[in-house]
Amino acid sequence: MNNFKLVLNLSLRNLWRQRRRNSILLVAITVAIGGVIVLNSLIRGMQVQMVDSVVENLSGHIKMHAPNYRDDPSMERGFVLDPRGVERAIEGLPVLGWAARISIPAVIMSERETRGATLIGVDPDQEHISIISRFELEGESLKSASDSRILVGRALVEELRTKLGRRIVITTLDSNGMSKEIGFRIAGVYDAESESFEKSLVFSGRNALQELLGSSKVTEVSIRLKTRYAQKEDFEQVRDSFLELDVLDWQQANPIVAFMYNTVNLVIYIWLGIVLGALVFGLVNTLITAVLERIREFGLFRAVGMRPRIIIAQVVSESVCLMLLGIVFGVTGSLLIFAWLHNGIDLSAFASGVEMMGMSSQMKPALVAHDVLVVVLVSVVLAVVASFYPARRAVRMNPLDALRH
Amino acid sequence: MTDAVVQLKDVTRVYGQGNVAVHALQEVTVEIYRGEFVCVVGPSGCGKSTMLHLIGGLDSPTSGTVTLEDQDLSTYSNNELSDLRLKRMGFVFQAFNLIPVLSASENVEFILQLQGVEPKDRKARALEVLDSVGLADAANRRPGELSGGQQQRVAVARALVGSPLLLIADEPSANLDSTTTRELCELLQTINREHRTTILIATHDSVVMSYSTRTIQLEDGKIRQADAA
Ligand SMILES: Nc1ncnc2c1ncn2[C@@H]1O[C@H](COP(=O)(O)OP(=O)(O)OP(=O)(O)O)[C@@H](O)[C@H]1O
Ligand SMILES: [Mg+2]
Repeated sequence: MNNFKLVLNLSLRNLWRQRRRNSILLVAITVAIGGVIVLNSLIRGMQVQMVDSVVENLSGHIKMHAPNYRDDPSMERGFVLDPRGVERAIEGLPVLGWAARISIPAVIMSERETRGATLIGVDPDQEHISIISRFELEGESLKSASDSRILVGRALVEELRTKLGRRIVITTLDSNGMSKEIGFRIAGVYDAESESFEKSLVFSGRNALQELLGSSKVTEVSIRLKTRYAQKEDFEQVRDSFLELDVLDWQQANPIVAFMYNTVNLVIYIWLGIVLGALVFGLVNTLITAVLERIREFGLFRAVGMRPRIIIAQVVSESVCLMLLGIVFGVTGSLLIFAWLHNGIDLSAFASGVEMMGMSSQMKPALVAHDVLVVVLVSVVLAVVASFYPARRAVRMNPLDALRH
Repeated sequence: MTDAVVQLKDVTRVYGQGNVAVHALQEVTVEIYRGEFVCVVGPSGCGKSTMLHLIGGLDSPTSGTVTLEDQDLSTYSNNELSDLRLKRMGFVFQAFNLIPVLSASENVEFILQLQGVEPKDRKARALEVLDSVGLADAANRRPGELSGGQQQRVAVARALVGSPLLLIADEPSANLDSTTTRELCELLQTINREHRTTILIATHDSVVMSYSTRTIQLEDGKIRQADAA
């Protein structure tokens, strides 16, 4: 304890003695650590947004299809909904709600244009779990599952050169694989955050659609939990209740987004490694200089009976103190920046690129405590590692030679 | 069992090898007893510093044995030698003695800190010793703000603070004027008499020699005569 105080005292004073040199390094550490944390929080924010929007945009946390549906989505590959079975499967889970839907490809025709899209049959009473209940609408929403009108996205309405209240004709395949043409009246025009969403999805009542297509099947059930991510056990409980169906978590249901999500995890650590690795070089360099210019002092200390490990502790503690200071400044700085960016950064200038990744044009940073902790711990460990070589040099020399230096 | 604090037996120290080998000490045998005030004298390069370093466990002999209180120093590990220097010896070096970032009193106190003395005791003790070398006023000044003589006195205080068995000083008066040298010597003499601290000084200075109880004369690494004063 005595020695610890002495060592700390000496380190701080020596850091102060070379305050010019050390403050330059301190700035570098602060910027690096603050930068890493801010960038990580932006990346995490992107990730969260990716997941949220995937979950919100009809995927839910857990999704079920008939086994071969995903290869060729069609009414033929639907299944008969067993609502009680679903209720049993989700018993005890933190479920916000679930929705059974029909989701099939369709060709949409107005008087002027033709477009491909996905026709989705929904029960509005179940859709509080998805974005459908939160559309900004011109016109009316669907009244019930038997509502046979249609909701079309703003972008698609413009492409089709039609408008609210008009009729459109949809061609799709019924449950026997026979082509069928159905007329719909546009009940509402919705605005979604992403244009591609607006262009590709149209919504009608599920029961109405079943009747029109002569089938009692649905093609998917989507379950949304109250938490952001589904627990593994929760997912497994549902999966094991529906052995005859494909039960997917959001990652399996959205492999491309999931791949990006996981790549981002890796990117965070690579980026951390590069930045902190560069810092270590600066640190080692400064420490070696600091040791060499004090070689006589170390010699004196040892000549009067200081054990080598206390000398080593001095160098290590100098490195760690500098790093800790940098961490305090860096973390504080990053928290300030985080608070400032808290309401999101407007990326609408790059909106189309951003939307492709399933994100909105507002970018909200998300601070993950675990990431900050990793940055802090890795920095401290690196500060210790970086001081090893300089510390060895401080004790390698015989005290007499060091004194004569 | 002898009364000797330090014993050198047939000690030889050779630096380098072959043609360039320097015999800094050759077959030196000498004993230093408790309470002595010994000066090691001789021309430059005769091996004074070498002898002091060997006794201080800072260097080891090429052949022969150095014992401190009947313990052969070659049997000590490095850490044990460190502890020995910390607890049993005090050093005043010729040139570089003080840690620049520590104040005068801290330069004295850190020895006690390493020895594990309680904070409140060591503060008082450090000030007491500084006072005894006449530097109570300069306690909070850093070495850079002290004169050469003051620095040397701080070094003496540092060497004395741990109540060593043996005080080793290598030309402590090299940078001092004769008045300051006298003051320093009086101080050493007082300590020598009051605490029976054994004192071993390498010096060229006749003023310092006049305070000694015995001188050891070295010439070309050999003892010329070792006589009682
Ligand atoms: N590390 C060393 N390497 C090589 N030779 C050395 C070393 N240290 C001392 N010597 C040589 O050993 C001899 C004795 O040196 P030492 O320092 O003991 O002399 P000294 O009596 O203290 O001299 P001075 O009065 O100048 O301090 C000298 O010839 C010196 O050159
Ligand atoms: Mg010498």
